[in-house]
Amino acid sequence: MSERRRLLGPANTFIPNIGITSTTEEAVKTRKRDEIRKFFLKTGLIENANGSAYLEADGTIVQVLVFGPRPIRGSFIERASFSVECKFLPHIAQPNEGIFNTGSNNNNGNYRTGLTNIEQKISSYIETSLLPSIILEKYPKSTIDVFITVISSDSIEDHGGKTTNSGLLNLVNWVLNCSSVALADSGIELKDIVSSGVVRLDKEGIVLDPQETGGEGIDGLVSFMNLRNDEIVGFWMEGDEDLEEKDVERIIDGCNTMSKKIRANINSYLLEQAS
Amino acid sequence: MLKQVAFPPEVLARIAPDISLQRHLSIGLRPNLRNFTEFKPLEIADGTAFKNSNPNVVGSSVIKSGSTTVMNVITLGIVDNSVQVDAQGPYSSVYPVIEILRGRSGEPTDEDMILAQSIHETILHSKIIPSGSLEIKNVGIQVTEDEKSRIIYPDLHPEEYSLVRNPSAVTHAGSKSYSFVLLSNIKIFSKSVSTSSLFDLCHLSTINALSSISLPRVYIGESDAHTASASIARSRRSNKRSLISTQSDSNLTIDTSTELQSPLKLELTDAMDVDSKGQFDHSGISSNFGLVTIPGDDENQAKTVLLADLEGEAEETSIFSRISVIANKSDRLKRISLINGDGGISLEALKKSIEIAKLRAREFEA
Repeated sequence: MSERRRLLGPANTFIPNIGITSTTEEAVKTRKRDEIRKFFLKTGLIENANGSAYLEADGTIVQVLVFGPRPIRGSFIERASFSVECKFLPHIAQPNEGIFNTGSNNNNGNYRTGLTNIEQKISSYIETSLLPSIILEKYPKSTIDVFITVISSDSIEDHGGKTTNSGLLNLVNWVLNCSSVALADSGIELKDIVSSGVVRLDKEGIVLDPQETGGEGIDGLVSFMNLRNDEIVGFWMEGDEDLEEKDVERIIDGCNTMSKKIRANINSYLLEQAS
Repeated sequence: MLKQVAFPPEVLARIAPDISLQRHLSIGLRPNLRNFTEFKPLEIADGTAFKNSNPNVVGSSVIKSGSTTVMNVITLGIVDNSVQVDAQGPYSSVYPVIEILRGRSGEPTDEDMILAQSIHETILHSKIIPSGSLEIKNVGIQVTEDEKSRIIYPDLHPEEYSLVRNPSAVTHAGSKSYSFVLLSNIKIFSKSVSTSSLFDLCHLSTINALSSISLPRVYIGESDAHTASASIARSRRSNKRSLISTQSDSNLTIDTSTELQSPLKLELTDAMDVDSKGQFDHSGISSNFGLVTIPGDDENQAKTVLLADLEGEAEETSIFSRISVIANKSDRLKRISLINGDGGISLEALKKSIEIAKLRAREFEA
């Protein structure tokens, strides 16, 4: 059936392939193994949402809108329902899309119906991680909806079909931190602000906020409520190596270190906003 | 007897926007504190960041007006001219998909659809994109020698091309004629202005993005080279392609090298005006106006005032007579749209709005 709601060009339009890039690769900025990249954060840019946050970290740009608590129609519910929708701008190549997004979506390059598999995965991770922090009982008969737009992503470096897990996890990390700040900006009552960290465990040990993609190692993303006894609210690992119990501990500790640093930054930003 | 209730202004603005608007206008102010014929300031950002970091993006634009941000990204599709279903005139347009982010998911709203349709038609009838400029000429061929791939173009490497081009190696794609299709995706963040003003912003951003377009070269990739290569390429393929029987179409590939790109030849300058150089000279600038009647009281008579660049809930919901004008600096009108809400649009109001629109188009240059 042809699409009648959107203008998608003549009926037989197709999307050409993108050739292999001939431009030389940019030199990867080297950071220390325990150094976290700088990020820019701003809340309240969007006026028609209840809360919003905008985050830039290198080439990753994320905008999060929070709508809620909004009244629902229909029968009474005792606690608010919470939903998260993460979407990429349609022209952006999504991390690991060669593996996960295999032609399942009606994609003409300019719009998609529904979410891609990667967008689903990210949305559900953000939703499960943020859910424990929100005091849903305070908002009966309401919904709280979070809409995430990935405006730019530098997470895939190689176009050669190699897996780039840290790219995906890195993006999710920034999306999560940005979403927490947007929730705080909306004034919805929270138990704590969720923050997260991402690390890679390679032969030499833990790398905080890994930048280079591909290569060997295990990538981990762990989200915490740092003020509530470092409760873990989200956990995502990628990699094809064997994992021992002590490795998991190291990954969690590494993520916690990074999460606390990000949280400290968020705290000082919010304090500055409040004063 | 009911007690009289007094509402603070911000509450009144929500519950009775029409009364709030009247009260403001009667003391010579608009709810947004602008003068009657003052436009909202605009910022045109350097939107080329999208273009530089994404090989599939050919043009982009970011425009801000207050907190309202319009992001416009143009990507390419390709259409086979020989099986083109829609009749193609001498001029082409963009195919916009517009989304106003307002905290809902699902199908586009009427507002999204109406905006997209009017942008498409306005650009088409402004006659700024000649269909010929979108034709793909000199389709190259990718060849692999000693495990190194290179692309041979008929105009750049004529001798090699004639060697490579034997009937079996090159499918009939080389002799077919293709055209680019400009697919524009517009996201509107933080909508605070009226639909009429959004049209102005979208129009401006489309012209701005169009004038930044550089079209890449296209080559026929080697089919097996592709299955092994880019994962991006694989997922960018549309489902629709399976409907296209000719296998060669699937191998049409965009050359990402920026040196070989050529700017899209737009008819942006006015043929009648030798001095015109700016990107908006031919296309014009879109301006919108609303007509509203201030009811008279004992001292004053009722009068109708013209408001420029409608913004906010009060103006959006209680002003029904609208005028939208696209004028360029050489005093030519590209589009005019009148909506008669209540009381009619006087010739005087129409003249005045055209005057202001022309003035604004001229001012825009500076």
